[in-house]
Amino acid sequence: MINRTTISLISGLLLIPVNVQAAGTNFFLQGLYHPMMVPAQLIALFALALLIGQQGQRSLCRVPLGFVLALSLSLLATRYYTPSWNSELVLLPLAALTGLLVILKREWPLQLSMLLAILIATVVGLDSAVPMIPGLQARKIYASLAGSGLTITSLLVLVSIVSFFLRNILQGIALRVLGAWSTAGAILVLTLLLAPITLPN
Amino acid sequence: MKKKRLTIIYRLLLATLLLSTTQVFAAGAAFHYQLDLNAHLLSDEQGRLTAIEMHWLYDKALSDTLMDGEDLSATKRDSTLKRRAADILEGLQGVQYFTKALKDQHPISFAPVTQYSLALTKESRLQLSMVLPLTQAEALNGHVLQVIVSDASAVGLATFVTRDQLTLSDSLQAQCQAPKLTQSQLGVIDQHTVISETMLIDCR
Repeated sequence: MINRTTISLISGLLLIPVNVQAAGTNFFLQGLYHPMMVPAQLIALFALALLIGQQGQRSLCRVPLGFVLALSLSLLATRYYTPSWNSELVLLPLAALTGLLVILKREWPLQLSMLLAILIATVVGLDSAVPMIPGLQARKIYASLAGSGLTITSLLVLVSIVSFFLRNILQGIALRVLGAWSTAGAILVLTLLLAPITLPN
Repeated sequence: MKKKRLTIIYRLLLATLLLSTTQVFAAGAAFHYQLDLNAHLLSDEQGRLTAIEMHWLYDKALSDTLMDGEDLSATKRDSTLKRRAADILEGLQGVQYFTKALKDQHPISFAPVTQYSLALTKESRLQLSMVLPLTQAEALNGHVLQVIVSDASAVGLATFVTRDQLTLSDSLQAQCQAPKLTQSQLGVIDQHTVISETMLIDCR
């Protein structure tokens, strides 16, 4: 006898083709999940969120606002400008630097966090351009950009809040360890990007 | 009652997790499309190349995306297709119609496209037809022509499929050998391969 849980599971699995089709033509969903597929963006956002939360309530209330403003402008800018530079080569050093600031656990000026937030938001936004498809309707482009913006902002705010509550746990060591992971991860990926790969003869 | 509520919540969470996971895998793969190309080289009375007539058959997914939300009722169909054709051409002009032509490795310049049309096949696939005119007619006798199609962003794959997809006018057929098709990988952008297809027409 098949129980209700099994039926629920099977029903969910049967919905997979529907979801694949829906996501394929739904540009808002495409945009929503785009940041999840760009590791450099995730590392930079994670490091920034750790810093924002670590710096306390004032930072938590103000820096995300600057971030959202810069992100909105840079996402809109992708309609008119496509950067020729490799965004990973900018985001990863920023992530490493931000992680380092978390490791050092000092009370940094608000302007420093804000500057990093604006820089990261600008690069992440410009790196989130919608695929160039001639004839794609503007509403689909804006839907995709809105989806990306929503995910990026949500990730930042969520991790910042968690970071805020963790900042005094074990005298702040938990956050510093996470900051160290961000820095190490960013430097490792950057090294692999820059180092030429030579195959043995 | 509490147990029943928990069971419902548990199932809702499971369903949400399942749907989210499928969405991630579905939407995580970036949008890609394929264009099947058909081209015909046009010439004047002196046998000089004057234009490339192209027919692009869009894949089903892209056709659905581009026509999503558009009015295709019997009375509005033609005007909708005309409007969408103009939109697509405007976008293609920005990417040089994904097409380059080289005569003995020297670039040939194209004029803007003015003759074009968009149709919807029985399989609901878009077919874009256009004539890509040269800015000046080019004599090909004694030369090698390359027609290269490529989407530099790696989002689309424009393919001739086979070398029979490029045909020559009668006067060009008399001067040139049958076209040869080659495909090459130009690089990788965001883990997507940029593929270029070249039709080589030897008229020596």
